[in-house]
Amino acid sequence: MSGRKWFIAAAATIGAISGGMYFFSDDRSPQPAARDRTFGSYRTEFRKPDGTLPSDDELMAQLVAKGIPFRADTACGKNPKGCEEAPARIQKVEFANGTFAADAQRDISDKLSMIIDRHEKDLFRLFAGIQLERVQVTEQKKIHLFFNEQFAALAQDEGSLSDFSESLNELGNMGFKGIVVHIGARTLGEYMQSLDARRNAEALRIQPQTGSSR
Amino acid sequence: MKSISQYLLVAALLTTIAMRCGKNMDKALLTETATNTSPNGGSIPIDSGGGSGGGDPVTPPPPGDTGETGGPAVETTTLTEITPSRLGAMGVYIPTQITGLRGKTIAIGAGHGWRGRTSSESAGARLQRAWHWPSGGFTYNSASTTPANQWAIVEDYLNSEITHYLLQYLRNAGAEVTLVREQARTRHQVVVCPGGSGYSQSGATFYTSGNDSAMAGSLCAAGTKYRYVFGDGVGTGKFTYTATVPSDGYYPVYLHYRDGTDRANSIPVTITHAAGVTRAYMNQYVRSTTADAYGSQGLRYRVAYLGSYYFKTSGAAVIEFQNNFAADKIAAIDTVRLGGGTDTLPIDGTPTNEERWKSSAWQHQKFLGRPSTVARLSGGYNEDVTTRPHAANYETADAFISVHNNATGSSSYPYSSSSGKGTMVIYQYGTAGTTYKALDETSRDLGLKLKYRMLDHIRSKWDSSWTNITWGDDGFDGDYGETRAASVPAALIEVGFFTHPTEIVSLSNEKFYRIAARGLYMGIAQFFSSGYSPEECTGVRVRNTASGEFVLAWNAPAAGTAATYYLVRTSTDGVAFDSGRIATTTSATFRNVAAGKTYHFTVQAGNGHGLSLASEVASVRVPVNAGDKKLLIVNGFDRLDNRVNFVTNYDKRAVGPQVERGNSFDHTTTFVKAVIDSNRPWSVNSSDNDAVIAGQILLSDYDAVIWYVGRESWSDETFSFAEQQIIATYLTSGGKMLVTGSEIGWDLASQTIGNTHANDLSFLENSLRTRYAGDDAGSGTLLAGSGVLAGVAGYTLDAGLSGSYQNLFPDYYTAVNSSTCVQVYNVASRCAILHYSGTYRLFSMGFPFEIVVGAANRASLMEKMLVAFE
Repeated sequence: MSGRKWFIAAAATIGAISGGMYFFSDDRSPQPAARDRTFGSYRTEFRKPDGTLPSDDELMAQLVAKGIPFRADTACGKNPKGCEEAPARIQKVEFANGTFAADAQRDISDKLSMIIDRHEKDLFRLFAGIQLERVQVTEQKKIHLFFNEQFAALAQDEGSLSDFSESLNELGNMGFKGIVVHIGARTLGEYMQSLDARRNAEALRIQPQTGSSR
Repeated sequence: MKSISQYLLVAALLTTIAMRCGKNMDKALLTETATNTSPNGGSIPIDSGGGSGGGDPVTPPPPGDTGETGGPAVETTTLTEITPSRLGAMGVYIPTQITGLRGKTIAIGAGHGWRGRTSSESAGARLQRAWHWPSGGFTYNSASTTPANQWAIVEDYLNSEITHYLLQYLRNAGAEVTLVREQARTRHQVVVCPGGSGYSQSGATFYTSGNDSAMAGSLCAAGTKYRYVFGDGVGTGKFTYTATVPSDGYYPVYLHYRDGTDRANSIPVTITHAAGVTRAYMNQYVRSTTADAYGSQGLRYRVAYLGSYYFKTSGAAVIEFQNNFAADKIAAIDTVRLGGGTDTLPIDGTPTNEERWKSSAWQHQKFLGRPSTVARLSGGYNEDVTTRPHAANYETADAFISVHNNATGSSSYPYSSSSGKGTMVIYQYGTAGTTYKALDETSRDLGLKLKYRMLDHIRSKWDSSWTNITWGDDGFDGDYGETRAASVPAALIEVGFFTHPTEIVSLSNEKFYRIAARGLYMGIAQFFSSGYSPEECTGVRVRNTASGEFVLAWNAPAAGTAATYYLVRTSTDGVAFDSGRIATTTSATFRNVAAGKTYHFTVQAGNGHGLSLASEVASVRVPVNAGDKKLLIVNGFDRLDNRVNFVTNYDKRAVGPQVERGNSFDHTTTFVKAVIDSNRPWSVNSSDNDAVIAGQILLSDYDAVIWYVGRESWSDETFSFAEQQIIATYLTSGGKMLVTGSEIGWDLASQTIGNTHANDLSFLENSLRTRYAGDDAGSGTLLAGSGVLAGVAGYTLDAGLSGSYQNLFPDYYTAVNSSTCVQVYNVASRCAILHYSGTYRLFSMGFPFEIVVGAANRASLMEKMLVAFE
């Protein structure tokens, strides 16, 4: 065997042994799940060359560049003003018997209270007089929100209605089977059905006529 | 014991036998033959409303040329031509065997985009749903008129990113997709109006309509009328649109027109672009002949998507239609638009002048000429939310899917783990006896399939514990504007909550967008009783096998639905790809290729349900001379999950024509061009790193290897232990190699988290002869080279605006184990490139070669490295 062939054979042997070691003894650390660590927990591992800790911007840049997964720190510990204190609990939630345990009922009331409280400070202030009069959870685990007639003003603004509806999505994690919003004596669906019919007729009325023509 | 050389000899013999067998396969011309010709119809009758238009159509340019020399060899390939055909995403041909979503029109909405104020908002507002996230402090600004902060989430953009991938999956399954917002990401736009500059007609009698053009008063002058021509069954009559784009790049091609029952449903169209010619058909027939809430059918404002193609400033874009259809039908001759453009429609008196894709559905529907029944007003304020389903209704779509993401609260959102979390779907489901209608059941079916198939896919590919919100599975009567107004099956998917600490990270990640989109596509396919298109091919590789001959090969998708054929797209310049040809096996052979010729390829797996997304690009350069040395380029840059930087990616503001995404998967072309430009005698093969790991490509077959890993780091790791062993073996055998990437040193030497291996540091210092000195050279500028790189002038690295991707944290090194530093950054003489010449030869680069700004700089650097390898 020539020197070159001997060299190739030796290299191949080393490669084969190494490859075998790899396939039979992979000692790589398991990849941590994306949710394992918070943003701030990495800070000490990315000290700057002078030994100081990186700022939020600097740390974020590092994690992004390297594709290191993290979960964001919650705002409460970092910026207490950004976290809302739990408002007074809505006392009007009526749970049908057997729908939710006592702890779940309390959580639902808290969550709903926070949502309504936010709206009262913001969205509802744009439409004077909106009141949530009653909340009922039926045996079918549907939650019914009974608003007064003033809610109709909000419902007529599709953008605001969309914001309001989106805020209720937060309740989706809590085991409900659906939600029904009431405006006075009508459901929101009934109200919107009649509103849509009026709007459709008006839009069609002002639309230029078309026809199949060359 | 047999030596390696003996094994290689046997392998070579088998390869030769296989190639001989392959020569018996069907052959087809490699080069597409352009058939566009200048009209010579002489005097053409023009009615009173006509104009002579622009000049004659130009003869289309040949496919791009790399300047190579060689005789007029007739190149052949085992690929099969498919032309003309329906068109999928990016202008690919949809083979006839695809029936998955053929005939279905699917409307896609993505909230929200620039819109006018509503009744509850102050005058002058120009609204965009930006979700600012300045790195750890979390604030919400729903009415920002300034660019997003450096680490912002912008809800509108991430919704659009998901639909960006979703429409590709749908179009590749044969569906016609209509976006209620603009899809094109380029702000460039070229328009040719009927009878205007760039328009010509020949070979038939053309008439001018009494009706306005679909773009009259918008892209075309007020009062512009469209034209029409009757069919003749052979296609003698032609009407042609010729334009020159303002900047090289991909442009969607649209025809704006007004439909009717007298329109032809199969009008031949030929698009001449930088990669050749694509032939397809378009349908102008009304989608329904019955009147509905939008009035009588006919003359509706429609826009047909005719594919996206690469156009160059150096060659004309030519879109030509023929009247090869029944004599009792007409083709409406209206407005051609290339690109996306900017939104110049005033919002509360002021236009945004932003790229049109950033605008709301309301703005876009107004732009398209849709009436007040679609672009809704309520009390004088626009109703963007309900405009989306109305746009789907107007199109008589078969389904409307709205993509959205959730926030909790209303104005001040604490970013907290108490936020909602998970995926939910919303659809209209009324109350029995009052608001319930039969369509609600169909929408529920669509909604649940969307949600559960997407959940399956996210849990399989991203996060096995992704939350399912079951609220609404039994009927959701929330009366949301996005679904309530739909008269077609409709559902609103809420992918996740970007107020949740975990989900905001996913929702700002390109890889997640693609996974979510694939899941949504699967739900839509199931709704229409279709199977699924395959996933992407892997291991794409191309190698010279004999004189004037090379073989392109790939691996079938490793999981999911099986592929039964493949669509191979070809480019001669690395940027403009043709519409594809068919392979029935996992390889294609090319013969009689001229010396020095260069080709670039992508492959898409196909079956009866659709095509996958494209593979990464593989390239080959045929030897100029028999004695040319052999270079292999290994693409190890698989990473897509870079967190999206909404500033760099979206707010370039006219700097670049396209949105930069996590990984364009085409950087091999940059290396090949640098080799060609270096004028060194090297042929080039290329391979995905997976094919090297699998032993399908042997480094030992090559005189030198370039292995690039781009931005790979903790994510996708730079060099796995398996790759380290392959490289070490090659080097100790006397190999010559360039390794390049921005995180190699950090990943192998510094990190203590995630993917670590006991061999990492040894591989870095002993095989790559590199000692990691620091993670961030603090510079994107390099000084002139020294040693073997003497003569290489200083250059800069891409700051994110020069066509590749942003330079971030380039490593700097110190010499170790006899290596020497041959180029430094302009900060503290930090070393950027190490060179070793001993038992093997090596360049170790602390940054990605592909982000060196300037082709001349890349060529100069490549030349010196190749000389050092010779």
